[in-house]
Amino acid sequence: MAEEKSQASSSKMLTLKASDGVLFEVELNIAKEMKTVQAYIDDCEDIETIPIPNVLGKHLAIVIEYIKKTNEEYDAEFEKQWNMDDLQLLLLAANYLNISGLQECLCKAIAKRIENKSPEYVRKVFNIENDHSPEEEAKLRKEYKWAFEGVDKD
Amino acid sequence: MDKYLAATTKKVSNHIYDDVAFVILSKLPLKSLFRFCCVRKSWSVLFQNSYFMDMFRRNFLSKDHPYYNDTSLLLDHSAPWDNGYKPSVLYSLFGERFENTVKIDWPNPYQVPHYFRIYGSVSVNGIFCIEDNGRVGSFGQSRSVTELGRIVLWNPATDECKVIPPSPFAFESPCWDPLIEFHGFGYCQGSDDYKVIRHLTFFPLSDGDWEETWKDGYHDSLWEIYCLKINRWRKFDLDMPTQRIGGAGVYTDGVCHWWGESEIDDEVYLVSFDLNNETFVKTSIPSNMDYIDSAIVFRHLNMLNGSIGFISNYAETSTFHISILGEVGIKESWIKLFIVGPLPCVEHPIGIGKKGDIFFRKKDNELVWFNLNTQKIEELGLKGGSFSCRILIYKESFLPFERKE
Repeated sequence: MAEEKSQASSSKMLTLKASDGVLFEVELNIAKEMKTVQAYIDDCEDIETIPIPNVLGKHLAIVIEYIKKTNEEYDAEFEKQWNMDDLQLLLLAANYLNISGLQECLCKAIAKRIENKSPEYVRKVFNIENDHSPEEEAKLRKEYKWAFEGVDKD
Repeated sequence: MDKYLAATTKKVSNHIYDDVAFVILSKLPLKSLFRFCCVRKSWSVLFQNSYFMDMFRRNFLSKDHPYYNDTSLLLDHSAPWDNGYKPSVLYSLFGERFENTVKIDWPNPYQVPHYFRIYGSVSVNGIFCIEDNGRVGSFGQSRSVTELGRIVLWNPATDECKVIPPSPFAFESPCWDPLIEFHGFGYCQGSDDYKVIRHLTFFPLSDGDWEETWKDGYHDSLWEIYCLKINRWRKFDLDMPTQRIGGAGVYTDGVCHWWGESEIDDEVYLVSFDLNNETFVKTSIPSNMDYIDSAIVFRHLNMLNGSIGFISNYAETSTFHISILGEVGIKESWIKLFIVGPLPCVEHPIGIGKKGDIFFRKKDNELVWFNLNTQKIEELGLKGGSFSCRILIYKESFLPFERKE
């Protein structure tokens, strides 16, 4: 795939390869925001293509966009566009790539979305198995009955 | 190609492990955390997990709570008692480290200066309810019946003032001496009105006429409420615990809170009185919150970054334990968040600013502030009298509180 590369004068370009094979060309200073990538570069200076095995192309695209545009205003609107599944996958991506600003933004967003939800909803969304015995769970629900008032319907 | 894509999607779609989930959970309010105890076993012991609690504490202290939007700190200050009465002086505290103080003049509704002190710990729509302690220079002299227990509503930004009429109930009987105790001042959204609630306890005058005094039997104590709109006090019958000595009380959105002691069972409760519907809720303190082997000097009720809480002072260890309340009325929702100290030089708290700045008075009378994040103590550069200084949260407002219709 011969690509027309306009000669960007000073900034070196790097290629990131997502888990599904999608390639992204990013400027070095953008890539450096991902501390995992930075560590990779530090280790092998001449590298041009860095594999990102844990992140799908569609999510890597969103992450790169975030790094380019992040500011208070952008962050406030950012999370609204994504559903819960994408938010979680983006969080896993941000964790793997070690981008603290994005991690914080996503954790806040997910917290806000689950704040008023039921335990069943949270289990479903996070794909968690309930390891409480029925008696244990019943006891907790009774003890913290007050915490279940005003909870959103699932 | 599709099969390859499907395989990688499955591999990538992991569920969130606990260490990541805990980061998310640490941003939630207490009510959600109690509810999510049911989700799985490891989430039911969150409050005992120090990794989680460290994150929770950090988030708790650093979040911007709307209670403090556009607010500044004031200090109602009295110098240490040495040889006589020390009147209160009001200061505004400025600067990153509160290094600047600006004196604020008390109002002058009588054309002669009076001694004043502020009730409570926060302004209500920019208004303070202040205690009128009589004409300057008259300390120690007996005051007329209408002057005792006089209070004034005051907006420091506009200097608008309203002297509240005396209680018709306090001095009904000349043989009984009233103890007038302020309990709360606040704003009722529903009726767009300001209210003050006080408790009156009566003691027979020792030089009173015995027959007159006891003619109708014991003079029962009572609650009274003042409403600004009708400009009158009204008797109010409620079996509610009265305030223990030493609390400034806390106010949140139409609800006045104080430490109450029940006459019946001697128990201490957080009493939360709703000014709108004039009902109250009691929240007791679980017995396991305190060290059994160390005597508490007192519990100082306050707001910690938007949550109702208290600071317990343990004399023997010179430590201060700070707890917050998850839900009013639920005694199981008290959570101990911080243990500060030992700070052997510190005597008692005088209030809490924003985000975990706790102000104390030291045993040498120096006023200091302690930052829960940095754990550093710094001096304010002022000496204060015992239990007579208070930090106030002030939000300026230029709106008139008395509507002239």
